[in-house]
Amino acid sequence: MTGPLAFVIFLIVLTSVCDTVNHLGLKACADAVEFKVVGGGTLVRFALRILRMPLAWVSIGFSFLSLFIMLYALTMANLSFAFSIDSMHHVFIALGARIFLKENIGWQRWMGTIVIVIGIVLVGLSASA
Amino acid sequence: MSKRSVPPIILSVLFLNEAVDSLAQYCFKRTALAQGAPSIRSLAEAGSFVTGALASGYLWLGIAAVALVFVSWTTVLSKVDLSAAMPVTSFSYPFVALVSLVFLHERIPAMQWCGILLIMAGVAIVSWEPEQEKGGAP
Repeated sequence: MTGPLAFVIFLIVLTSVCDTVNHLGLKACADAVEFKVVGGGTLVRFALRILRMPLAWVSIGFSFLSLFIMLYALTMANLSFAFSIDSMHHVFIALGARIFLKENIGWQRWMGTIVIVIGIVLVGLSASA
Repeated sequence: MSKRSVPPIILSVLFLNEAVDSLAQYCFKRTALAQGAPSIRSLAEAGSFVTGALASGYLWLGIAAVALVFVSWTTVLSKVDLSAAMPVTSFSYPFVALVSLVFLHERIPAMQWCGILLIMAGVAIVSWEPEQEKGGAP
């Protein structure tokens, strides 16, 4: 680690937030397209319909933003550290799906989410030690 | 539901996906290393960082690897259930750690390995869905 730890973690949180916006946006697009994908041909048509929605492009924009913020974080942080901390997007996606998409998150998912958070804390502590 | 069982060939493809994804992360780290130690304080500096990164062959190799994984992943999902395939993606955490250790010579303390294993377990728990309960995603 060559950069200040707090700043690097802030950048990785930012990439995770961008990833979450991207995933929730694409999920909202996929839900808006009432379409059953049954084979390769319908998959292409499904993708084309999604790409016609402005929200899909906003989502794709966020995934590129996420990539470049991560690249900036990687100029200061070890890959093994940054990639592990980035797993917090799983936590954000669970929260976002619950809050914005009103999805039902079972106890098992919450338990897994807590295990991920403990893992992230350990990785964070290992870098500050 | 037969799509819950993952045949060995598909399992191999899933693990190969994680290996290719780790390669993509390695490429992104190499892209970052090639940028030196930039400090971004203005939009112009952010712009020149992005242009610098876009000029790196490693970035495009990484993006190509991500695209390859995406295509392979969607193909796999037409053969098996998402909740059966998804737990395998948790292996990306130890895989990236191994790539960092071997190819980037990063030092990974024992506590970090413990954290990585917990993250892996957590991701597997989050994505694993017992057969009887089919809530959530439509």
